[in-house]
Amino acid sequence: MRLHALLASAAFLVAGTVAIFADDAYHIDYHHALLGFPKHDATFFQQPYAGSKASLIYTLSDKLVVGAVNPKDGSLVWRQTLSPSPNITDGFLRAGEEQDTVLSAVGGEITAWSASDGRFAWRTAFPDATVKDLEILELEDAKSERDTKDAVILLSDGTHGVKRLDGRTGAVKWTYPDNSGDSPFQISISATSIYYISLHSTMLGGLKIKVTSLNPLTGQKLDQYTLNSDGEAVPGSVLFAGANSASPILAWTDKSHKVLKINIIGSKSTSTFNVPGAGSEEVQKIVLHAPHRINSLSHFLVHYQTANAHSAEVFHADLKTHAISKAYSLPELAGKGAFTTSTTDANVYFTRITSNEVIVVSSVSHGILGRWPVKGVASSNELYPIHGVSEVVVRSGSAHAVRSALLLSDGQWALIRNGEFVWTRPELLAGAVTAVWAELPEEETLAQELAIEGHENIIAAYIHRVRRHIRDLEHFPAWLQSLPVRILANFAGKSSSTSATEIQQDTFGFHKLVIVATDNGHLVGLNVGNAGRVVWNIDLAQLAPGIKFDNPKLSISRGYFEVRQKGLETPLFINSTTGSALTAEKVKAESDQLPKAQTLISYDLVDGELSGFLGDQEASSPIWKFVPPSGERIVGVSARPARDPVASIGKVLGDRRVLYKYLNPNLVLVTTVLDARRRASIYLLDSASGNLLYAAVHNNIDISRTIPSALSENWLSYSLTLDSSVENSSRGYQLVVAELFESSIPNDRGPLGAETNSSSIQPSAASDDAAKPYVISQTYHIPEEISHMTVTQTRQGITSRELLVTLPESNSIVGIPRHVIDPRRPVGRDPTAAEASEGLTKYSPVIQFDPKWYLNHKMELFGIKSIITSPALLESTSLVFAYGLDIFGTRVAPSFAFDMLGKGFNKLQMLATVAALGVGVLFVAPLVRRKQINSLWQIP
Amino acid sequence: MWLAGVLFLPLALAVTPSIITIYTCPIHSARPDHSSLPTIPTPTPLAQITFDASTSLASLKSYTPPTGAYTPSHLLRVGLYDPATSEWKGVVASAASFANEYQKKLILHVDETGDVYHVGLATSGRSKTSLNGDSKGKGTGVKMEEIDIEVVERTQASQPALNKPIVLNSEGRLEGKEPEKTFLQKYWWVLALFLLVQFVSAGGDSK
Repeated sequence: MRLHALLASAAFLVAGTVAIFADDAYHIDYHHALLGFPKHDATFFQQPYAGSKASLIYTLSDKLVVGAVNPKDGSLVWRQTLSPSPNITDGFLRAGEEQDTVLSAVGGEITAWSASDGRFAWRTAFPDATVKDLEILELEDAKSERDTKDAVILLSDGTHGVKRLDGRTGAVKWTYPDNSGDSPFQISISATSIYYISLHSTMLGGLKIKVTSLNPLTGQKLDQYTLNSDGEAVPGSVLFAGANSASPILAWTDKSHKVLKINIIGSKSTSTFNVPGAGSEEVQKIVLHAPHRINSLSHFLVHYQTANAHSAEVFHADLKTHAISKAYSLPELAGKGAFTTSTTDANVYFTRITSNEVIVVSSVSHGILGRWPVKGVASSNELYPIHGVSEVVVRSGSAHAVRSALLLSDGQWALIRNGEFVWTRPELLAGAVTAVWAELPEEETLAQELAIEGHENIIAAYIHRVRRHIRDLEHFPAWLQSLPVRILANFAGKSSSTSATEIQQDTFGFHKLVIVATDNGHLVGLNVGNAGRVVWNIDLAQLAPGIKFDNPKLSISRGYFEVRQKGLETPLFINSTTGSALTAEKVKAESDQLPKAQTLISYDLVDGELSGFLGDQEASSPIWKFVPPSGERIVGVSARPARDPVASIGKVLGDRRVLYKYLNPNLVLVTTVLDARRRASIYLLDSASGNLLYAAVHNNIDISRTIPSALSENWLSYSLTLDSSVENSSRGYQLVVAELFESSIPNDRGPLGAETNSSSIQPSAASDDAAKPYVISQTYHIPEEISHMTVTQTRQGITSRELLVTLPESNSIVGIPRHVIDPRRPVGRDPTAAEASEGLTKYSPVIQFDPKWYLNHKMELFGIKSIITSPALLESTSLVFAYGLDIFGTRVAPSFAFDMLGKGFNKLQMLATVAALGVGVLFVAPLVRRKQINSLWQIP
Repeated sequence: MWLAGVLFLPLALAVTPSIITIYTCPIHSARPDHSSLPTIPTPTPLAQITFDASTSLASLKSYTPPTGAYTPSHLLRVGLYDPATSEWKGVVASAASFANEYQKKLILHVDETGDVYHVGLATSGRSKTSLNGDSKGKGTGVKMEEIDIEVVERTQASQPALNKPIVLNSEGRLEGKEPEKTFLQKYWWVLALFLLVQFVSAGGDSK
């Protein structure tokens, strides 16, 4: 114990400034800067400025992130998050031709961003309305005036109407109010007028499509008519309304997807087409693809998707005669596919992408211009494209090249160039809801063997160990063979790098798996030792059909993990290295080997009350229950990590006395708020007995902000936002740290003394109330709000800990060293010599986040929800994994990497020095020997 | 902190000493190896406590030890129970805690309005001092033979120890700072010493 204490204090003294070294950045950390699933109608290839040769892919995702991605390598050029209010999921993204801005509309806000670097240009907000459509006015006169094109928006929810916004400033030029009560649908722009399409619901539940044409210059109403669509169009059945004069069409179907009706906007006649193959198999989905370019041909494609196959028909619209004719149809192919539209000059090309082929056709005739087999994907028929965008290069009548950015069914966003995968972005990870660490299998088996040895008597354990060693000998030849390669790799300065698919054990324990559950019901295994690459990716809906996995609970066991979800009767068991499902019997056979715990008490938050249960949570009634005082509601519950080793049971003071830590593995920290009084309270409970150990109240707190909390070892911390409307002595954000000791007196172990065992349920014969900790706490002001906090974990707990906090405003993660937030810092005076030797510094009410504490250095981490930490095999190092919108991982060494050689260590130089010294000794040794002999024989 | 106390003072004064009843209720373990366990766990009163919220003084009114065997495996819920709503909250403790060799202590956790929101049970070895009625604990406890009562109020959390703001008076100067001493006030002793030396030396000459 004393050795541990010594080590701990040694580790502590080393902890001066911790920072990321420049040569470690981007090597020890990895970052997936994600967007979310790109929306189909808000994704396009576009030149960032007029005359640019290269184009970028612009997208607005389902997480409402606007971003530009380089189509060459899939790297993110820029992104901006739009989140006006939490319940809005719909948004628009448009860019005018040869413009240097892109316009986004989400909720009631229209924002223009610089297309090349994502800088904010202007914003116009309509707080009481929602933007229903956004189009760029591609008019000749609008263009001739200036080079900035105006935008036309359609507002609904509250005030209905069409507005034209100035393209340079966002100011409203004119407004066409609509007080008819119809629901606005879309706007379409032709060369002469703006068509405003609204849906008028009839008494019978059908819809009538009303088209109003407006003067683009003044916004005055020119004409209005209603299409005879009664009885056929129902809510949700209007498929498409072309946005501009290249596709001035309105299309809708009936309920059973049997007939397709198309109208050219501006005329009152509708053409009716029968959906092909309607008799054989039910058409599930009809999608209309039309060019977006204003000067392209008015050709469009209708995509029919059945359960097992898909086909398409191409139509031509004659704008003069207002006639629509079917040009040709593309044959039915099995499986699911996607169609994309691309234009060069006036020509329109359709690209058909299926699981194994990319086909390019012209809109004019059905001849195939180019065909490429899809390579690089492991021939999995389950993988199919959902939607995408394409760019086609056509030279002399044949498609020279095609590249398509596709959203794939496994949640990846990929670019296929001529049938080959160029890059993939794991956009499904943007919806990470929970994540857990998983050990690698080799490590687990060894741990299991050691556990068996630990539970047997000495002789049996010895025999077991000898047997294990003999068994391990079979790996010896292979190990010997790999030795030269490893040594060479070591000297070359490369760490043993693994291929993308292979996960293998390393000596330092940096290679681990993280299993992430996403909000669309996927489970993804990431290899954190290899820059967080996706190892496996499974869809939980296939394992348990009909259940929505929106908030699954993952729990890791040896080699597998359990997935629990409300509505799921039995948990799913999944192999953590391969992602394959396991049967419950097999898992049971494995888990029977584990030693049984005596009595398990679990706790859970049920109806705003924290309750403890005997055994599993299915047990009938709670055995203890904590209900906060009336009016208070529980906002957070945090517990000590399941594996939280503590190296030293005491804290050595400067005068060699010891303050003993209050170490209770069952601590639970409950944070509550009282809305009426702007008060936040914290309660520290013993989760075995339900006893309340410590309670504290904070007044004048902004209770609408989050109160993150963390609990580790014998200390807890939480952060609060002070209410700005009340007269406080200070304002801003606070970080509170409290440390628990057995007694306030050094060298005193409190009532329990040195007892090794104690129970919080069974009575104790100690002289005083044993369960109570002695609490020291200190409060600091911090410059920024904290949204989440956690504590680093190391293998033995000898290394000093670091509090990892997420700062949502600066998109960063900061590791605050433990000694900075030590609640024993002397207040109002300089530390005495004894305190200074302990490492305590004078209390200052404000903690400034040192730039060296930022773990993310140059990276911007958007939307981090949570951080999880795990120990590595090296004591000095803790692995960190943050998820949310972005995925970020790194490793931290809060007391420096004292057990690892740095990158700057030159092994060759060391070897050369040793060799040179050896050679030197060889030469000098005879000389010295001769001199010694001479000195003995010479007469002084 | 005292301000909060003042705020709640009228409320607290309005409350007459209330009687709080602590109930116990046995827990059926998975293996019912005790025939003494009642089949239906109905909460039975353990202690009645008179509690005065204005003074935070509590005294034991009645105490009925729980029935059944005081074995470690027999668990009891100890807590507050509302018979009207059958709402229950409290802690779990082994029935062995009620054995005679332990000094029991009921802990009442009280919020600022004087409501008891949680209870706790602690035991300690019966020593001679505790039998003599020397109760420890920071709360105001009332000593009885069978059971101690401790009232624990919520603590106000620590506030940041801010530096004192610099207060200037209307003239823009620091308040309370003494005016600068004049040259004479500061160095009168040098002058006096000089004069003394002069006198002494003059006297020496006259001799």
